Amino acid sequence: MLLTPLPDAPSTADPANFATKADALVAALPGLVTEINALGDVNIGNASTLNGTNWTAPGPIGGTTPGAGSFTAVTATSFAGAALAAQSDQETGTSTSKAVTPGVQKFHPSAAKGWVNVGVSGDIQQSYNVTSVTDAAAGQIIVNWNVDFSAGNYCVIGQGIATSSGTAATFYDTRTSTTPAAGSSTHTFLRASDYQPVDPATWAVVAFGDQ
Amino acid sequence: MSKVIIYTRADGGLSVVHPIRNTLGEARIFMPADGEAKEAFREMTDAEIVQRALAKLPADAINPQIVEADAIPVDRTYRDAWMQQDGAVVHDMDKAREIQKDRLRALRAPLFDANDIAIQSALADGDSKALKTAVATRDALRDVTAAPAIEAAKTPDELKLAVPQILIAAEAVEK
Repeated sequence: MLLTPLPDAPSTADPANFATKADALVAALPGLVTEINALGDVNIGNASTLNGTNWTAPGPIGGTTPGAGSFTAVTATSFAGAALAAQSDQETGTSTSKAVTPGVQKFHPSAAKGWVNVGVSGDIQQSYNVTSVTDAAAGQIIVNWNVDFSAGNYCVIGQGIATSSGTAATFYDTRTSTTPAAGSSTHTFLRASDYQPVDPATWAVVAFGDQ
Repeated sequence: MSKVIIYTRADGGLSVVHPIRNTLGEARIFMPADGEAKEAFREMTDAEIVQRALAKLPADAINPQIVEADAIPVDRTYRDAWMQQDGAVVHDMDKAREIQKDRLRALRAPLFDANDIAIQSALADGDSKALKTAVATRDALRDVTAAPAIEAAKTPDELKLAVPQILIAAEAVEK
């Protein structure tokens, strides 16, 4: 909304019309105040970057208390600063005031650090943070992580699903290496009747721990 | 991925490494040269994915080679007999024969148990005819790993057929 233009200002260079112009200008001021108040809250438009430590919301026009106003139509596309959780904040996992972005969510202790669903011949169904899968022997695979774990004592769970020959009626056992290496974990699928390794149809492996 | 990495382990076994392009969260390569720094990323090429896997091979990997995926046998019956030879995966037939013998031993194990009961029953009953039959069966089961067809087999396909008649029914159940 545009404000109504004010009348011409009086000037001592034009003494003949000074009083008339002064009266007109003063008479227009109440209307100006009315129009300004009608604007309501201040619209600051779109902000592409907001840094939470540097902004103070302005108060209403004519007010005396900065910070009492409100923003409308603010669209932020990115944030930066101390209000955002860093990797260390995620690993500590105690903050209830910092915002978590997609790039650091994975660092929380409760997040899976890597997982894979893969067939016995290396045909990937789904995977995350895996560099490769090694077919080491009959019934045995090694999952090689892309980002290694910080130590070998992380929690990794492997599961063989059914068998490649389709004979799934027998109980099978899946063994995971006692202490997985920081960069990989080994899994063996055993036939319970004689504890010989046999190929499952599909492997599913997931790992939790510190990276 | 059309390429895989094969290498021989210190224990003589063959490992086949399948490089993986993650379906989720795959790393992208930053391209500062194109002047669009903010979004200047590209997908990793297949060759880069393979090299990434190659870089993480165990330090004791022997003779790692990048080969076509279709060079890997589809039939895994004698998986632990695979060996590396001139950039290809072939079968060590001596190892394959031992695997075949283990297969036959697994097949005959329940038949041995059942036949032992038959022998004990024949002895308890004083049934010499039944005892003779059971003893003959026991001997036949004992000799399955010495079947000439096992040594005569020149290929994995021939070896798979080297199953003595007495175990044919058990093999059918396994399949």
